[in-house]
Amino acid sequence: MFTAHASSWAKFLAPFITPELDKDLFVKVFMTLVSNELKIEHYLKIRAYLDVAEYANLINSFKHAAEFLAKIYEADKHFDKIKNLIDSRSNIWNFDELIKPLLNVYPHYCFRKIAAMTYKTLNTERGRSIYEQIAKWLVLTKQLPGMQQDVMILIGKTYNHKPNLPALKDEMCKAMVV
Amino acid sequence: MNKAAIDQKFLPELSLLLNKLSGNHENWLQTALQLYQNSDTLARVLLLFYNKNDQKRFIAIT
Repeated sequence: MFTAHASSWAKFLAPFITPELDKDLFVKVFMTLVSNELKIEHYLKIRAYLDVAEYANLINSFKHAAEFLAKIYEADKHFDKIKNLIDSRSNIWNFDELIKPLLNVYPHYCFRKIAAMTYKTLNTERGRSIYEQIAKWLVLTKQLPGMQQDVMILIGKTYNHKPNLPALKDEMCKAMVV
Repeated sequence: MNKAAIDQKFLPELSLLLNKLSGNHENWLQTALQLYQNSDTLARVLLLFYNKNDQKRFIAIT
């Protein structure tokens, strides 16, 4: 039954199935839920039971869902892999979500990356939604340990960008960057 | 049953309900085992029953 319609049965079976009852079925049920719902708590239930091949398959299945992949890497403390993930993307959307787990682990890397993304984006893009993204990145820099002075300079330069960008200033205020 | 215009898809559930109301547990289980593949609702009822009473059968049916 489950094999034929895994997606529709996984949620029903989840509360009843345990590794002691049937390890393989337990893994399959929660693998299905991980894929369907992209919830890290489902992954946490099965990660101790995954063999190397199953783990590789799981990672491979999320290669187009970078944000969730980053959550898996964060749970496994594979922070270097999150770095690789960020470096391999030029997409600005959800950049804040990807870099968040690294703030305390690689503060210098995060600062360099956020500064570079901010300057590059301001040079190539315009629009309130873009400024909203930039404000989201900049507010994260305030959490970087030991980098207050560099952060103040970056925020000041961005806020006082020439030509003057009132919408950027507005978004920075809304996000409480300044 | 046709005259009462009962939707065919509810027949497995109805059969199970009638067996339950009759109080005949053996018939109830037999009916459930015969019909669960035609009805997800019934399959869920059967799985809940086996989850409580026979975990090996629960896994086998799952």
